[in-house]
Amino acid sequence: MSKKSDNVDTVNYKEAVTLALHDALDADPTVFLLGEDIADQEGGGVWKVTPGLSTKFGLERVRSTPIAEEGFIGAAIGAAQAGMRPVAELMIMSFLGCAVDVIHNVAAKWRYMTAGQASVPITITTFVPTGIGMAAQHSDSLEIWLASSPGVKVVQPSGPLEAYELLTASIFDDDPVVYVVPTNLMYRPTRVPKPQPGTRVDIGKAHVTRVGSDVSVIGYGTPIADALAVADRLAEDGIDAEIVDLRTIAPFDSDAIMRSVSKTKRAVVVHEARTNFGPSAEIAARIYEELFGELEAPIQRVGAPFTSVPSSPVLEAEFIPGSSDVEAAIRKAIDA
Amino acid sequence: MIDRPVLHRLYEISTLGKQFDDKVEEVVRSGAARTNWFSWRGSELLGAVCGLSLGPDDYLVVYYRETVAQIAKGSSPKELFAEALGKTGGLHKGKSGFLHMADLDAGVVMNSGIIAEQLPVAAGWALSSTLRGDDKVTLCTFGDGGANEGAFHEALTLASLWKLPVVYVCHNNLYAEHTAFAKMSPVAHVADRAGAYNIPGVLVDSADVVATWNAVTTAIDRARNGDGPTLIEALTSRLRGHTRADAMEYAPEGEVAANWEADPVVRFRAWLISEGHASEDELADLDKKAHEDVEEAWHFANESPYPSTDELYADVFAQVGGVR
Repeated sequence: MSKKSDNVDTVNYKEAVTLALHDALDADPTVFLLGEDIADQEGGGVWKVTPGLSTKFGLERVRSTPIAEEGFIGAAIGAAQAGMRPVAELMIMSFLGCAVDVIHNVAAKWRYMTAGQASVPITITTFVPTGIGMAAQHSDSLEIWLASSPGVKVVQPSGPLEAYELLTASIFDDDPVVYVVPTNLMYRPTRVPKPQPGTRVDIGKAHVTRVGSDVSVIGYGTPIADALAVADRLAEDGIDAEIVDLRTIAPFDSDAIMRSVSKTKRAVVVHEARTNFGPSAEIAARIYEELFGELEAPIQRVGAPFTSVPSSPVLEAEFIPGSSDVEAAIRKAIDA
Repeated sequence: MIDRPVLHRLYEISTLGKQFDDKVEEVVRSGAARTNWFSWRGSELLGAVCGLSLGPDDYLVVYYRETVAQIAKGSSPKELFAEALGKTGGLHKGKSGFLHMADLDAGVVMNSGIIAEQLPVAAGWALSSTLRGDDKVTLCTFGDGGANEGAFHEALTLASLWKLPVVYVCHNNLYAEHTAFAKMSPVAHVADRAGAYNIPGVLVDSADVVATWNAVTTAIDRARNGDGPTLIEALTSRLRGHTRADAMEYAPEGEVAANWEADPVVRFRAWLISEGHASEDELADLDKKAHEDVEEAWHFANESPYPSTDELYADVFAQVGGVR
């Protein structure tokens, strides 16, 4: 049991996100936040990731917006073109359709259309709430919509330390970055020491969380966070799994993937997003292109089924890919 | 009243815009080059007013038909034409093409080929001025069709709520793509919508250059003084269609011919002389200079090479992998 004093010098995932926003606001006057309900008067954000920030940094730099995603994300894009570093919160990823035009047709393309003369250093934080019955129009994982748009980066941290480091990296990256948070992970109790202000990890670089020799488990988000426990169980059966946490979905770390799979010869690709047309389809296709002759098993993919997200808890539990799905896929790859 | 030098500058830009559009039309019809660069004939006066009324540090946000305002703000006809033809001498090495040309050196900061998407982005440019505490103004133009897009609604909502230093100027040439404005607008005038956002709405006829100049400069001053946004609707006319391939068969018989008969640049020219603001010689000199600039732009664009195919792969990201 952790004492209250332990919490002062440590952060969980949610607090890491707040801390990264705080430290960025503190370090750079061009950083500002916008989003629905994010100021303290409105509760510091529905996900409680911005408490205290408007009080400390003022309502100009931490501003609650009307419910007008195309408007305020479009404005954030304009401010980014003008040299600011805005962080816009898209409250729920399923609302991406409200703003996808200005993200895809302006933010993603502006650098290319101007032949490199201009940048759009915007960060969009967005949240995927699952497991609480909010269902079809609130619980989508839509990384692929953005990953398939050249010029946008998409990241998803799986734990508190990289939550801080990736968000810091996203804010100070000169490209548009969409930072996707699974809310379940955000509220987990795991704590790490508070990172030094400004620490960051490279976007586009995967992290090997477990070195192994029998199978590569490649993915991001909740299933990858839970893969360590799965690997420990499998180790008892003599299966030595390597876990590659992509952290960045677009552009993903192809070198790290190929390094791992050329060693293990077997791959399992996991994410919470739907399998069909999901990021795992692209990753698997690339692995087949580069390592086909070396593979000892077909690539296994774990993700959500090709349906809308249902509300009833029994159905939603069936929808969300879990550790048993990952374990089954690993065993299938090993037994092939 | 407007100073004589300003009136001359307005005419200088207007005659250049008129001749430039006619040249593009000639080039396209003759097959000398391939482009679908959308015509701006009939909106030259408004473009000249919008571009010239801004200071060098102010921000101009435009859309795909707003070539004249770009030129007035400082873009080079040579670089515009080369970009429209996809040549390496163009503003963006031919990678943008004619639908979304910007010119950061001239303060033409944003352009949009997606109707109305530039309005919220322009609010963002104005927001950057508020946050920085500088006194720059953003002027954003759009067509009458854009007033129906959700982006218009959201942008004006934000601009009003945050009292942003932005001026929104609508070109109403009475057609949106191939459909008459009157058929698609629930209100008689775009400017009528301003009340919904609690901002001033101003209606002018761009053929009345003095009234248009006064409306735009008043709105710019208002924004610069921290009093917030204005919505200006300026009536223009269509002499050519939505695209260069559009013969405007949907317009009532005789309407397009009447628009040509009432060519606003020609009437402005006559007005300058009749009111004693310019002599025939002075204007003939400006016409001749414009002709030379247009010919020079065409030769530059025509002779500019195409970019190498390596260019296809460049500029997707500013940074790949690491961060600075």
